[in-house]
This record gives sequence, structure tokens and C-alpha cells, in this order.
Amino acid sequence: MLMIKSWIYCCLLTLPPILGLSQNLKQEVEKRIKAEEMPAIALEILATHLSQASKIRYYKETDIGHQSFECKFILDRLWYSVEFDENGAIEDVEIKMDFEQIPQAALDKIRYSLSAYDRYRIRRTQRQYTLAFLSSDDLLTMVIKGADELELRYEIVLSVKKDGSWTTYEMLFDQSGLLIEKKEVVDRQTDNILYQ
Amino acid sequence: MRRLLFLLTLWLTANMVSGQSEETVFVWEASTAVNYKLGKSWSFNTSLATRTIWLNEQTTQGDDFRGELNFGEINQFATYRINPRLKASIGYKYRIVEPTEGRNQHEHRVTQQVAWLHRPEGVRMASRGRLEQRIRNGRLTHRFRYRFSVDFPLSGQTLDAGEFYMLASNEILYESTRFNRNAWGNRFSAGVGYLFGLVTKLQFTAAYRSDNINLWTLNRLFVETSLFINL
Repeated sequence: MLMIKSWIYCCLLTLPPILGLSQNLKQEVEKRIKAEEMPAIALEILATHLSQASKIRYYKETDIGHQSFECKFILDRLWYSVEFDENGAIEDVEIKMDFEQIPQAALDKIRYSLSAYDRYRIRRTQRQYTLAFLSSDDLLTMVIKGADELELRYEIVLSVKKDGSWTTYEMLFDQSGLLIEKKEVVDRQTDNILYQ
Repeated sequence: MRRLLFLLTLWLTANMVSGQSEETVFVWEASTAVNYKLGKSWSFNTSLATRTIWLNEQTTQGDDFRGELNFGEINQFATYRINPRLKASIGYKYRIVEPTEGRNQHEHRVTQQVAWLHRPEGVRMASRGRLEQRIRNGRLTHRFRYRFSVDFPLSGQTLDAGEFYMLASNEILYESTRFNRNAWGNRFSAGVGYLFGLVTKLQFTAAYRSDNINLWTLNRLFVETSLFINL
């Protein structure tokens, strides 16, 4: 009887991680949606800018305690990503760029921060514009027009090597190259690529 | 690309019934794999797999539909992450062929492989190079394999819990042995997978395998189901 009970407890303890019910990992969930599922105000803001855009995609992002909407598109050969809150107001606008395109002073500072690691490999770099004193609609218009006076940040996804092992992070640097935020990124499993 | 892959999977599945020999309805390979990490650089993979050939023989009493176990196997791999895109593995496989037919053939296989990701995000592309030494009934065969594979989530850029993904791959295989002429092979597969929670994936693929292309070509269609558990 004791053995049966032990076996049941063992199953109950091991089942949650196997079924993926563990809540230890914080993960942003991104789901592709149709345009109609976006907040109406967000669609209004986007409407004037998307006529010349291509590869327009809409997503809903859910993080613990936070939900947002995103529109990704290509305009004038630039890859845009515009994030909206639940009410349809812009949270930030991101544009893909090369790491080497970061202005030299900020680039030096970022490289200095990264020199704390044995090695690093840049995976993706985006410049990020957030609302300061602008309204939601103004921000997107000014970013697309390429206004220089906007304050920006750099979001960099990179893998770093420290003490012999590699970890992937999403790091956020301010305009001067100062590290503001660092989040570990969970990479997709490669078991189906490696072994099957 | 997604539509093309979907159509390819459908086409391969449709051929399962018509493309086999008169007796064979389909060949089913089922595997369950557990993947676990040791530190940040090492991971291990243990899997069990079987291949069942489903036959439909016409007898005087009518159709006789039955499955025959072709083999059962156990695999063990150890993988070292050299950098975020490059992984090296060594593996061992033990396979018992036709265990129910009373003519057990024992196979031992040692594998060395390198896999690298060309694109780690969104539409993921990867290459895999493998060297295998296969010993079956005392006979050694060297196998050289290269596979290119693509997989991508069907909703968004990242694969999240409760989402489907699609995959396709093509593998070229060269076999060299003292006992037969050297042979070429090709394996194309396409399929779909589903991620349950954070750690469990179920994958369904249809594969078209051509063996001994330069000698007497043997074309076969397979249904493969794989369960991956990441601890």
C-alpha cells in the first residue's frame, strides 16, 4: 500500500513539469491575429501609414499581468514593429538596424558593457522609440519621417559567453549606450533538429 | 512557404496508401524522447522507438490486416553546445530487428554529429552532418549523412505553448561497406508539430525515403510520430 501511495505522489510531482504547467519561467507569448482583432484606435493610427507598407502582420502579446498588440510591417525597406497597449495607444515603435549602425559614442559604451563577457554574438538590433511628450499618433508619424530629435533606445538580442557557457539575453540600452534592462531569452528547443 | 509545406505533407500522406507495395499499407515509426540538461553546455537525449509495418494480405478468408514489428530501438545522445548556433553530439543506438520473427538481428550504431543553426529565430534553418558506424550481425557499415531542415511556428515569430509548427527536411545519405557496393540514399520529410505547455511536443511527419538509389532503388513512404519531452 505504501509503495502504491509513493508511486502516486511521485506521479503527481513529476506530471506538472511534463505537462508544462510549471510557472517558474516568465515567457512572453506572441500569437498572430487578424486586423479586426486589433484595438480600433490602433488601426486608425496605422491606417495612414500602411498604404505603402508590405508584409503587414498583427500579433497579440501576453506577458504575466500585461497584454499588448503589435503590428509589424516593411516600409521604405525598413522593418517596423509598432506596439500598442490594450486601448490602442502606442507603447513603442521599433526599427531593425545593424549593430554597427549605432552611433560611435553609444556603440563604444555598449561594447565596453559587453566586454564583461568572454565573448558575445549579436543576433538582432532594433532602435526603439517610446512616448515622451508626444501623442500616440505623432510618435509613429515622426519616426517614419525620421525626425532626429526623438529620444531612442537600443534593443539588442545577443548571446554571451561567460564562464564557458552561452546564454541569450535581450538587453535594452539608452541613447548614450547605458544598459537599462537585461532579460534572459529562452531559445526554442532544438531536439527535433538534432535527433530525429 | 507554409502553404507549400502543407500541400507537400498532404501529398506525402495521400501517397501512403497508394505508393506502397500491394501488401504494405503503411510503415509507422513511433518514438518517445526525453531531453534533459546538465549545466548550460551539456544536454542528453534518451529515446525509444519502434517501426511497425502494417500489412493487408488477401487470403481465401478475406483481407488480413495486421501490424508486424520491424524493430525496436533505444538511443542515447550526449550533446555539447559549442556556441549558440553550433552543437556537437555523440550517440549510441541499439536496435533489435524483427524480434517477433525469431531471427533476431542485433544492431549497434555509434554516431558523431555536428548541427548548426543558420537562422535561430522565426523560420529556423539548420544543417546536420552525421557520421555513423553501424554494426549489424558483425558487419560494419560506415554511413555519411547530411540533412537540411526548416521549421517555423504557425502563429507568430516564436513558438509558444499551445501552438502548431511546421517542418520539412531533406537528407542525403551515403553508405560504405566491404560486403556490398556503396549506396546512396535520400530522405525527404514534411510534417506538423504541436507544443503542449513548455516542455512537451508531439510531431507528425510523412517521409519519402529512397534507399540504394545507385543500385536497386527502394522507395518507401513512412508515417512518423514523435513525442519530445524536455525536462
